[in-house]
Amino acid sequence: MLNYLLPALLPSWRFFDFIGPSPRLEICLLQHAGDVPSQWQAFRPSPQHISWLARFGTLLWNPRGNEALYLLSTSEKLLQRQSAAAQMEIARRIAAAFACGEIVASSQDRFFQFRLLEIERDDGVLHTQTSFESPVFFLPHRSGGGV
Amino acid sequence: MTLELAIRCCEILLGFALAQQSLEHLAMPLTDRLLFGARLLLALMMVAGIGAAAAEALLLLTSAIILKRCDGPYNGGSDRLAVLMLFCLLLANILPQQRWRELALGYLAAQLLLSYAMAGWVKIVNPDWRNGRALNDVFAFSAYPVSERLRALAQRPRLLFYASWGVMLFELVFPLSLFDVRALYVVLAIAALFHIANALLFGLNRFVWVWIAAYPSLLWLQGRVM
Repeated sequence: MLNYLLPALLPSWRFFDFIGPSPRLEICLLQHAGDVPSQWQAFRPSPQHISWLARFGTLLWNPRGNEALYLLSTSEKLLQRQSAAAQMEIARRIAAAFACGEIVASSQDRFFQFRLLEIERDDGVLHTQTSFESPVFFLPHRSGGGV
Repeated sequence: MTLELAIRCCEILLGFALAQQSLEHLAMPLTDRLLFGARLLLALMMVAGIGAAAAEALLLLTSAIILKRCDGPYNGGSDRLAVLMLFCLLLANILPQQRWRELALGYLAAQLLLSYAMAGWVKIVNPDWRNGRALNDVFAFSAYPVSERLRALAQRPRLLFYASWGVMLFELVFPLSLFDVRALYVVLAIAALFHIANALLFGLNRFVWVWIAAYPSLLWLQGRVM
């Protein structure tokens, strides 16, 4: 427990000191566990535009945005430390999005996979590469459950 | 500002910030409702000044549980400053001697100063921040911008160059404001606007309320040492 509290009691305050590769989370629905994933889609993609009124509203109410930031840091942990706990946490939150109906799957879809892309600048040009592909997870039923 | 007033102001502001966070968690499907319901109640106790020290101790304990469950902070630096504030406010409430209580709040104020100065220092030693490219990268490809349209700002390198230097210089000179109370009020107002801008552009709303909650400690320290 002290390992988690010490960085808060003796913080380093190194905010945005280095802009490294940025992860993006994508998901793919599968009918069979052995299917080759092909139809990848962004998980909760950023909207094209948000009005200033809505942005000021997020000052007081931003649960989705804060979960997105948490998923971002969890994705970074998965890429940096190959953390199994981070993998399960991401899968759990994707499964919850299906379970609560936020993302709708067809009746034939039984499984899902996720992957992490990394975007970075190299020699002035942006490059995207797939850095992680998860195992297959069961798709939860609409009414609840999880992985 | 007296020590007691500074502690009370920090408690009220942090209580509101933690209540807001708890309500956000309670609105999400995977939430431990018992844990965040308890945190909401404890945060409101802090606001009301009812058993503040006990509330701070229990909030600290539940923060440690959340840190362990999430394998680190749920929301980066804002969670860390909230834990630091709870720790310092708890000590400032329970330590028997005035001198030690002042040391506890003084440590919080010193860390608040460092949070700006260190953030400025680590940027200015990085050539990518000095030439504006780091901020350009934040808009061009980081996951932070709240909408895709904001990425167009990456096409305005001159604006981002000046913005980078504005942020770095502001963060670095922040501690100098301690020498004059009027300057401190002005700098704290600018800092609050800076956090609000980060919330509007990058969705970092929790930083706004937690950082502002620590400002009374700095106002007290300024009066105490100057």
